[in-house]
Amino acid sequence: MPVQKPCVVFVDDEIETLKPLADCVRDAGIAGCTVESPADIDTEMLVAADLVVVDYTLEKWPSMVDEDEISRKPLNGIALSAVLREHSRANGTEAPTAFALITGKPNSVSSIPGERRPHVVARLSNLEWFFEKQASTEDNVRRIASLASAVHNLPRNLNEGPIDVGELLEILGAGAADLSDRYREAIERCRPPIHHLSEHSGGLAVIRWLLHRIIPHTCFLVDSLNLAARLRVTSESLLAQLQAETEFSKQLSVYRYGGPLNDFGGDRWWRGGIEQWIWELTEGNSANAEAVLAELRKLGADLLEPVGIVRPVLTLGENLEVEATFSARDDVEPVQLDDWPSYAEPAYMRKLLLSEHEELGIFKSDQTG
Amino acid sequence: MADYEGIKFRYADMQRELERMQTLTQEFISEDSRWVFGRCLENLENIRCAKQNRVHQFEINKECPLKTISSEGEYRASQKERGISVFGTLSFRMGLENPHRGKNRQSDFHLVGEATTSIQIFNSETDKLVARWQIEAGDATSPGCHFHSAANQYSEDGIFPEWLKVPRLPSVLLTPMDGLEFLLGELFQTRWREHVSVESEVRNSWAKLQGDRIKRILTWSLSQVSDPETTAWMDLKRAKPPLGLLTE
Repeated sequence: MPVQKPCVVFVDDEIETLKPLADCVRDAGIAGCTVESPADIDTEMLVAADLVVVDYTLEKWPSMVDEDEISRKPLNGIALSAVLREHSRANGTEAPTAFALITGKPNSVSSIPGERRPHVVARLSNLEWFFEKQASTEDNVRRIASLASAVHNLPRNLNEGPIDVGELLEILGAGAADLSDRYREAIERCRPPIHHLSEHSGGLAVIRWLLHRIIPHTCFLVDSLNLAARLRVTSESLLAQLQAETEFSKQLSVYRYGGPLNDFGGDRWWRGGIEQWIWELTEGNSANAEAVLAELRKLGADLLEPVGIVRPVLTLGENLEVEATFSARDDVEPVQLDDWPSYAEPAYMRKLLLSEHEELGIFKSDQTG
Repeated sequence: MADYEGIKFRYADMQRELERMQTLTQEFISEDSRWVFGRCLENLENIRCAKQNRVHQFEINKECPLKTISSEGEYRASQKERGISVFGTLSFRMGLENPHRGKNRQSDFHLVGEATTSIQIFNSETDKLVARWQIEAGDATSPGCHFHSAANQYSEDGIFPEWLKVPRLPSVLLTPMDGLEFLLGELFQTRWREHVSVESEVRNSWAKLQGDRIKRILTWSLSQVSDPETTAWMDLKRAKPPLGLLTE
């Protein structure tokens, strides 16, 4: 019998360590939230859980200390997650269970030195997500609750066979949108796992696709930084403007993404919707930044400040994180990162950063450059 | 000609054409203008989902054109000596109308206004304009020939001034991507031919789109001159293509 509320199980050899975080997640609305020792986990818990969050370090788990046979000894949270996932799969219902890792030692988790982008670490470790204890509790709580809810709210018929893009559009909350045909085509370009990959995952493949391949990149959804760049306004002024109730925010809200994980990493909007909106507002002059801003101001967006860069782009920093400030196109170079989806907007780095960090030169490519 | 309804295009064909050429021309397009393709595709989609009862301008505007890499004399058949380095730019403007009332996303558009693809060549060292021509399709009122090219209009040197408008030289090229391939074929006489000789899905797809269109234009042109009322040329010059030229 599936539980009616999202359920998260934290697994740690030191239960007290994760209890404060579990309490916060419970306060955020995830009523079924427990912290368990690895020794106490059973299949019933796994089946009931929407999300299992395993601590990376399990050195104080007695089985780890006493066991000599290494095949019976999950070395860390990644290994334990793999074991638990298989138990979950073997005993599960049509409702899937997601697995995530949490650690206070992020550098020891990644098999690639310096690579701490959570979607990359998670993907390489066969996990849905990777949380750092160093991140703000508020962020971790929001993301854990969002992931658990997304898994919990997946339709229950996703194991019955392949789905089509129309069904995926429904899952993503845009089946009835005026621009649904446009959104559908944009989604199709992003290689959604709607055929054989989704069939036996109960929809978890869709969650993974969103987490690893869509949300971290600029594809059919844009985050507030990308939205600001497109509107040619500063991100600070856009965030301030979004707080105010105006015709601008009302019209913009039509294009806000409301599907699974919509609160995982800040607001997102349907990119095609934004383009159509400003195209209509400017009567076909949406490439003209001044014309766009003038029309937005007519909608009460008085706080928006022009960015002062002809074609602002977002860049990656030294640790491959997205930098908060825009750069001019002339000041950046396209870079080619492993596993960067071909359907996503290309990645850029500032020329100055590349000159200061020789090791980043491996990402430079004649093909993209 | 009052009964001219334009030329019907499939949105999907125009989109595919732009996407294929975006890939096929990548190494011939200057890195700082490759983004123009993406913007152009976005605008096509905007028009596709836009209102029915108006003419939309689909364009790559001349302020932000597609720009080729430099040709170091590869525009000559003989490359024994290194020529003056030049690069080309391409912009275009087409007047499109959505024909279907009440549809959120259209499958076809009608090319009802003039379609002009402007090509310019600049000296790479001085940025001085050294050549300019247009590939054009007329509208309901243009005197023909309907598919034509024209040289150096908008010049300030007194030769081929804009007011003169002639000559309109007959052409089989129609779309902006036809113009782009023409430009690359001129600037890189050998290299472009070698490039499109490589077997690939993207080359084949583009070749089919372009080939089908040119065949239809030539077939229609042939039908105009086969049994002329006046002279073959005057009949072709006066002829307006049917709406379904490219789709039926």
